[in-house]
Order: sequence, then structure tokens, then C-alpha cells
Amino acid sequence: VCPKCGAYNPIGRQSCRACSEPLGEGVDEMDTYGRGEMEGSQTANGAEATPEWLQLLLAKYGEETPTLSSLSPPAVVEEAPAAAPPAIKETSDVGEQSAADDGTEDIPEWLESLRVSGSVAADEKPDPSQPQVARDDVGEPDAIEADSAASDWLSRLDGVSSDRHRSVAAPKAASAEDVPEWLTASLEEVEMLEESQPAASPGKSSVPERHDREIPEWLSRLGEAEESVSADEVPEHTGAVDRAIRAGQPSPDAVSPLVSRSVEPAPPSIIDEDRSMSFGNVATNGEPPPAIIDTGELKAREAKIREEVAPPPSVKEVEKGVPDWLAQLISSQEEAAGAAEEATLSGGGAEEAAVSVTSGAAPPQDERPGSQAMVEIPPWLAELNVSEIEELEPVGAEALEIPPFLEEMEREDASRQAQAEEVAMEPSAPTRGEAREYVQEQDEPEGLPDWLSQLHSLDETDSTSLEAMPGQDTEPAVYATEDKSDWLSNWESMATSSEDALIGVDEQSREEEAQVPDWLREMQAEASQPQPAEASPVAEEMPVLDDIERADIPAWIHKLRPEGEADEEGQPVPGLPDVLPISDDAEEEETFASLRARLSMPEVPDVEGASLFREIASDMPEPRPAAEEPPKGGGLFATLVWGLVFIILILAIAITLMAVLNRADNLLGASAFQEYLSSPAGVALVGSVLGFRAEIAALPEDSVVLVCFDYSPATEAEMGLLADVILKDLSQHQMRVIAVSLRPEGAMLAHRMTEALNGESGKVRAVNLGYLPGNAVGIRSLVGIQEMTSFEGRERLNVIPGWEDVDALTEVSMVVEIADDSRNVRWWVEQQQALGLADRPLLVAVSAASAPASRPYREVNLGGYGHLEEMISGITAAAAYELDLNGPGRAVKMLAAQSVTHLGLVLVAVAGTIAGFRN
Amino acid sequence: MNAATIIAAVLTFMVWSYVLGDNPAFHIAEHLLVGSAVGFAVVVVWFNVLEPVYFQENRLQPELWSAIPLVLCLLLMTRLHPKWASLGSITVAFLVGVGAALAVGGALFGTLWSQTLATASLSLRGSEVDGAMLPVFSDTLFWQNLAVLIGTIGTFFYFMFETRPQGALGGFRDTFTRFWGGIGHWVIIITLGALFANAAMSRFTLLIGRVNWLLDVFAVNGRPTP
Repeated sequence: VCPKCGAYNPIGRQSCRACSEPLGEGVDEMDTYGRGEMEGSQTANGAEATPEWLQLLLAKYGEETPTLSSLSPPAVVEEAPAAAPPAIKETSDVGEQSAADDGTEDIPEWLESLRVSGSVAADEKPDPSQPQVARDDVGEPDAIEADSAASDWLSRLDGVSSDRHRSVAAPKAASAEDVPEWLTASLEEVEMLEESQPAASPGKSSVPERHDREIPEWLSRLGEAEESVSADEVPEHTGAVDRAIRAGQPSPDAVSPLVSRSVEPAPPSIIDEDRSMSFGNVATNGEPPPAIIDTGELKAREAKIREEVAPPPSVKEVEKGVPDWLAQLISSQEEAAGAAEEATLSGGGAEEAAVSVTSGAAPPQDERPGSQAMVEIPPWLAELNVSEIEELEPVGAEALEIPPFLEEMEREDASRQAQAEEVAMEPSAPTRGEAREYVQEQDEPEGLPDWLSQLHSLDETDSTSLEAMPGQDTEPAVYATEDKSDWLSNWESMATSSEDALIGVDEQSREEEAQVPDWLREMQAEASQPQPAEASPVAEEMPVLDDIERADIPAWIHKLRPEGEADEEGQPVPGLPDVLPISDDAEEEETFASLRARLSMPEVPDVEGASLFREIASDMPEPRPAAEEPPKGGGLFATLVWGLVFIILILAIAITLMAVLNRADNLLGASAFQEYLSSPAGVALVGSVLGFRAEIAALPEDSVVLVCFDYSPATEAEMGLLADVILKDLSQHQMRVIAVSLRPEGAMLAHRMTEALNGESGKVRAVNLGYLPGNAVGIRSLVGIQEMTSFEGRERLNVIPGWEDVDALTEVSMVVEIADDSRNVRWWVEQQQALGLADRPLLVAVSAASAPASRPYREVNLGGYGHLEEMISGITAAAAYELDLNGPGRAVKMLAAQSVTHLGLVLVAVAGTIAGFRN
Repeated sequence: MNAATIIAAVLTFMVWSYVLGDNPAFHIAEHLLVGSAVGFAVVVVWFNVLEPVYFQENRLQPELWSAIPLVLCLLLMTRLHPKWASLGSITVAFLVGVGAALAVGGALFGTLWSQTLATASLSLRGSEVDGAMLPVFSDTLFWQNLAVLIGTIGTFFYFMFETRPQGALGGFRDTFTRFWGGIGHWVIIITLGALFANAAMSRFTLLIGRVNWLLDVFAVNGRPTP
């Protein structure tokens, strides 16, 4: 780092590439080791030089590097992080100052005060209410301070534990009471690793000169003291420490590690970092807090340590990869170990030192303080140690006393460690049975937090259910924190997830889980791992209410249910009685929801309305019945059968009508009709017929009579009888007939009549001129009747034999209109004057239906306009005409049938009227 | 019995089969009736109208005058195309104008004037037989003329629409109008009933005539139809 601009530069560069300022040597070291290790970097001759971390820090901000001697002691204290506990800062400051000091008697006053304050801080009892340091804050300065303090606290424990474990005479049972077993197991593993690295020992003697040259004097003295006590005094020392801790008696041998650890700023190593991180939240201010002991994480870190330590690095590699200060330390330790080998009997202490150096642990002099070392300690340090020991004596047992829950955790950890060793050193989480055993082994639940006690009690009650949870065996145990939220407490008190509280979730997952609402957690659990209902904790905790009747499913739900699920009807969810499974109507629900959203239907509890709407909406439109295709083979047969039936029906009707007609002819035939005509009711009919015939009879022979056939085949049954009797009467009077028609189809009917008339006479007595287009206008076309051609022979009228004298319409003597519509009658009446035929008689024969509309023209005879001489209508007139002309004929038979039909209609009308009145 | 008679008889049965419901036989007969009627009309128009006017040697009208109806007919056909439809209006105007002129003249003097005079000339004196007057109340013509008179007056009042009359005679006039309007109402009902009854009887007559024809065709009556 450039001391001027603070820019980073590659290693070996002489000048800064940003500002071209010359770079110092300390920059390279900083780049090599990084900033995170600046606190631990320290030159061997730190007494005269400023620590490298301070140099780098100052260089980064462009400050000149002052000499440490120029700094006043209070300033150093002020630079310490304010968030760190006072005891930690003091201890670290003391350590730094001690490291910077050359161990002479010229201790400044501020250090003296620190000694006093440090001793006072040691007197302070642990305050459980103080917040613990978060584990994530390890990288920050405060956390580093806390970690260093934790390392102190831990180093005490570590030192005690190490000594205890090194002591052959110390029984396991006794140690379990004082030191956590988990910590013991961890240290055992470290010990095993140390034993597996014998190659580190020979390398230690490779750099003795360097060690002698660069190691501080105080460290050298400590090293010498260690070497002097390496072989013989260690067991006694460790045993003394154990005994002192166990009995709370002051032991000068047991105090030295604490003092040396607190004084010596151990360089950060992997193991120390991990342990400080692991226990950072445990040891704050030197008190045993009720912190989370994540055994799973501890296992993971131990495995990490094992992996990192497993390939034993050689000394050269260590020298190559470690910084200078660490290399110097290593060399000094190796040198000390070599001296110890030479001076003592066994090399166990050297091995310890080598392992400690290799693993980055505290210097070996921390571990093996002896009486000689105490002698070599500077007086101020000795005083400090004595004062601390004296002050710690009454409280030493309390300070080192491990809470019961931590003991149990350690014990459980130790048992798990044993299992782990059995399974080839593989880290494994405690099983359910182990967890349950652990909970059952809680002999002193009063030492546990309240929430843990609740979990313990719930676990006892739900022990059987816990055994049935196979899915939780692989998850590590976790102990909840004191600062758990209320909802978590309630959740735990409900014991719905007591298994999760005891087994299976690490701290991070717990924190994440604390942020997840319950419903989302349940959904995640259901979605991720559909377990059997018997094994589900929720299912286990749900009470079975037998006294609740099963709900009746509405009929409309049954209708909506697919037919394929009929066999599953009424089967509840496995393990959840009285709970029906979710139906497959999700799509229908979605459709219903979308329809409700489209219709903006409010979600009100209108059950009746909702049911009705659902019923309407769910009714599927009835499929349109497919057109039944008649069978091909049977269709022809059915047609024939129906045709036969139809013919039989018609014949039956015909025979019946024939019988009726014959009887009617006898009853209502000519004789009966004659009687009717003779009655007063027939006077008008007889008068009209007689008047009609009188007009015809009044004309001379060979007179030209214009007959207009204005009717259609539809009315031919009625109008044909009238036309027939009129033409016969004209024929009998030797009249010539010119037939015309205002309808196209009337021309053909006229042709049939004229042909019949000509056939009877043998002469052309009738000429059919055919159709006259234009209705009323067509009547006026008769003005040029002499030029008109016949309908059949295309001959002009005046060239037809017997018709040569007819050269104008004025030759027409009489007009006879045979029509089934009153409009035709009106046209002829209206156009009569226009044709110049106003003085010619106009006879009209109409149907019975059009007679009322034509009758007014009959009653008016104004001698010019609308002169209608006579009119007859219907079958009755035809029958009367026929009787009067030739005797009874077809018209009389038709009249008899019509009379019977009229009688039947009258009866039906009367019956219907009576029925209508009754209803 | 020839083939035409048999075909006519079969078609008659096919039309009557509608009594059993809608069926293909009825539709066949129906389509045949419409088609044959239109075809027959075309043939008739050709031979009775177009050929004598335009293609016959001894035409009734000169060529110049004959061209006018032909041009009008062609103009009428232009109405099939919307763009040229306005040209057809000339023919339509000619037909409506001539038809209205002829019809109005005939209706005015042939129907309205004559009917009015006839009604006004009704006599309630009775008939004269052999130079002697019959008693009024025993004369049928008297009652007939009286009924026509009452019916005509009542029908006129029935179609008189006015507000409630005001003044001293307002109530009387209102009562008079209501009275004769009621009479006209019943007269109209009776007239329409008589027309409907006559139409129904006429249709029954057609049915009876057709059955008689079938009986004649199949010689049930003893004399087959030729």
C-alpha cells in the first residue's frame, strides 16, 4: 500500500504506480497477509518499532509512522474500539504493551493503572444480562476484540483442558464435572492431530540462529523457562492446575497460563480463529453466557480443522507460506524445542510447542509456565500475575464454573464425538434417540432456560411421537437462544415442533425460520416433503375429537364430484380423521373464483345465494340431442309401413264420407233441397238464381257473352260448379262465349271449360283469349278484343270461323264474372263504364266467402256506375242453378256433403262453447 | 284414367299427408305446386303477352309503341343492381301513376259514389206488390234496408275519434256518439264473423269437392272421372 496515496501495488514494486512514491517493505508484508491479520502481525523487535498493522493502517491513510515510544499510553487506549468490553480492551492493551515492552522495570503509569483495572475486571462477576456478541461480527474490529477476549477466556479453558487431558492421572469422570466434554473432545481431536504430525518436530531445529536473533527477550525467557520445565514439570503442573480449578485453590502454576495468554497477543491462526469464532458468542467479558453451542457447527469446524491439518506441512512450507513474524515465531519455537530436546529428557513438550506453532496456537510458553518462567517474568508482570491470582482465588471456581446446561451439552457432545470416532471419524448429527436420551438425561432442568425446560417437559410427553419421526434423524441438535421471540416461545410451548427445537436445525436456519410465518412454513413443509400423516408433527399434535360428527356433504358437491372418485367417498385424510381430502375441484374453484371476480361478486357469507348461484353455474347445459339417424335398412320399411297406414286411413275416411254422402243425398239431396227452396228461407236464393238465368235468357242467340274466369284451381271445387252450370245455361241459349282471365292459372281453367263446351256443340262456340295481364288495367286491354288471339290456336278472334263479326268490344252483349275474390268483381264494376259496357248487364257468380263483399254492388243499380245486374254465390246457388237447369247433379251432391259438414261444425262449435263456459 | 289424373291423385295424397306431420312428401308436393305455378305463369306470359306483341306477324300494336313497354321492362330489370337501380324507378313511377289513375277513377265512381248513393236511396216504405203496398213491418226489404241503414250509421260512428265534447250538449253528443259507435262495433263483429264463416264453408266445400273427385277417379261413385 502506498504510504502516500493508499493505493495497492503488486508485491515487489519499489514505487507506487499511482503516485510514484517509493514503497516501503511493510507494504509487501501487508499485501501478503492481508488486513485481517494486522492485529496479530508484529515484528519481533516490536519494542522499538511500531507494529506493522499500525504501520499499514497509517500508511493507508497517509500518516507518518510514529515510533511507538512517542505514543502516549492513553492514546493507545483511546484507539481501541469503544464497543469492546473494558476488560477485553485492557487485556489486549496490556498484551500489546507488554509485547512492545522489553520486559524491563520501566513500566509507565498508565500500564500500572491498567494492571489495577485489569485485576478489578477479573473480580467482576459475569453479568448474564449483557448481550452476547453476534457471531457474524467476527471480521469487524469489535468482534476481533471480542474474539481476542473470548480467546482469552477460551485459552484459559483450553489451557486447563489441555493440561487436564495431558494429565495421565486425571480420571475422565472427574474431568467431566469441571470441563465440558465437548471441549474435551475437541481438544482430544487436536491432540490426535498433533500426534499425527511428528514430522513437525525435526524441522524445528533447522533455524535456531534466526530464532535466537529475532525472538524478544521476554519471549526468550519464557521459552527458556518452558524448556526447563518441559519434561518433568508438565504433569505436575497440569495436575496442579486441575486440582486448583476443581478445588478453587490458588495455584501459582495454574495462573501462569492465564497471565501469559492474556499478555501474549497470539497471532491469529486457523484453529484459534475457528475457536474464537465458535466460542466468541460464548465468552464475552470472560463470563460463561447462556449462548448457543452449535455442536453441529463445531463438528463442521473440527472437520475443517482436520482437513486443514491433515496434510502435515513441512517446515519449509510453513516458512514459505507464513509471514515473517510467524516464521520467526516458528523458528523461535523450534529453536526452543530443540533446546528443550537437548536439555530435557522427553520431547513431549517440544512436540506440544511444535504443534502449537504449526496450528497457530498460543505460544508454548503459555502452556507450560513453570516456576522458572515466573522468575523470568518481569516484575510488573509478576505483580500483575500475583495480584490477579490473589484476586481470582476466591472467584476462580466461579469464573471457571461451567453452567449445568453447558456441561450437559458438552457431555452430549462427547458422546457424539465417541460415536463419530466409531464411524471412522465422520461427522454425524445426533440421532433422534440420542436427542431423546439427552432430554431424558436432564437431571437438573432448573439449570436450563425456561424455554428449554418447557421443551424438555414436552419432549417427555411426546417421546413416543418423536420416535416416529424418521425424517428428523439426520438433522443436528440445536439449542435455542435466550433472545428468542414470543412467537417462537409460543410455538415451542405448543410443542408442535419440539423436535425441531431439539434436533435438526442449526442456528442460521432457526433465524431464517424465525422470519418465516407459520403458514408459509407449513406450506413449505407440505410442498417439500410430503410425509405420512402419522409421522407429521402437526398430525401428531392435532387432537382427535371423536365427539364431533362428520359433516354432511351437500348434494351439489356430490353432483360435482367426479364419478371415478365415488369409491373414495367418505374417506378422510390418512391420519386426519374427520378431515376430507382436498378434492380435485381446484380448477372448478379457480373457474368459480374467476367468474366471481368477473361478476364483481362480493365475498359475503350469503350461503343461500352462493348455493343457488353455484347450482346455476354448475349446471352444465344439456347437450343437444344428436339427431337420430334412422337405420338405413329399417327406414325404407318404416316408410312403407307408414305409407300403408296412411292409405288405409284415407280409404277409411273416403268410405265413411261416401256413406255419409249417400245418406245425405237421400236426406239432404234434391228432394230435401227442393223442399228448402220452396220454403221462405230459400226465396232470396231462388230469386237470385232465377234473376241470373233471366238475364241470360233475355239475350238473343249467338250473342257474344264475355265470361271471365277469375279463380284458381284451389277454389275450383266450388267455382267450377258455378262455371259449369253457367256455361251449360249459355250453351243451351246458343250464346257465343269469349273466355278471358285476369289470372294466369284462370286461363287454363277457362280452356278446360271452353273445350268441354265446344266438344258438346261440335262448333267453336267458345274462344279462350287467355290471360289478361294488369288486373284492372288488363280489363281495359279488351278494347282491342278483335285483334286478340286465342289461347290455344294463336288465332285472332275475328278470323276464327263463326267469330268474324266480332270486331269490337261493343259486340259483347253481356259480361259474366266468375270470381272467388271480391276485388275482381270490383274491378269489373269499376271498369265497366270505361270499357263502354255500362249498359250491358253484368252478372257475377262468386264464392260464398267473397259474397258479402260483392253484395253491395248488387244492391246498387244507378244506371251508369257500378251496375251489377245479378249475383249468385256458393254451392247453394250452384245446386239451385243445377236443379233449375238440368236436375240434380254434382252441385246437389256437394251441397249435401257440405250440409253434413256444416252440421258437424255447428255441433263442434256448440260443444266447444259449452266446454269453454264450464272452464 | 290417365297419367295426369293419377299424378293429381298422388299429389293430393301427398298434400294431405301433412295431417300426420311435416314430411318429405308434403314438401315435394308443395315444391311441385310452386314450381309448376311459376313455370305455368311464365309460359302463359310468353305466349299470351310477349309473343303476340313482339314476335307475332300480325301484331296488335305498331313497333314504336311496342318498344316503349320493352324499354320500361328493361329499365325495371336494372333494379337488380344497386348502382343502376334509379333507372328502374322510371318504370315503377309509370306503373304506379297509371294504376293509381285508373284505380282511383274506378274506385271513386264505381265504389264510393255508387255505394253512397245506394245507401242514401234506401227506402223504408216497404215493397209494392201488385200495385199495393205491403205493410212496412211485414216487408222483408224494409227490415233489410233498416239493418243496412243502422249498420252503416253505426260503423261510421265507430270510426269517429274525438275528445269529450264540451258545452251544454256535450254530454248528449258524447252519449249519442258512444251509442252509435257501440252499434257499429257489433255490426263490424257480425260482418267479420259472417265473412270468416263463409271462408270456412268455402274451404270445406273445396275439401268435399276434392274427395268427390277422388271418388270419381277411383270409380267409387260408379262413374270414373275421364
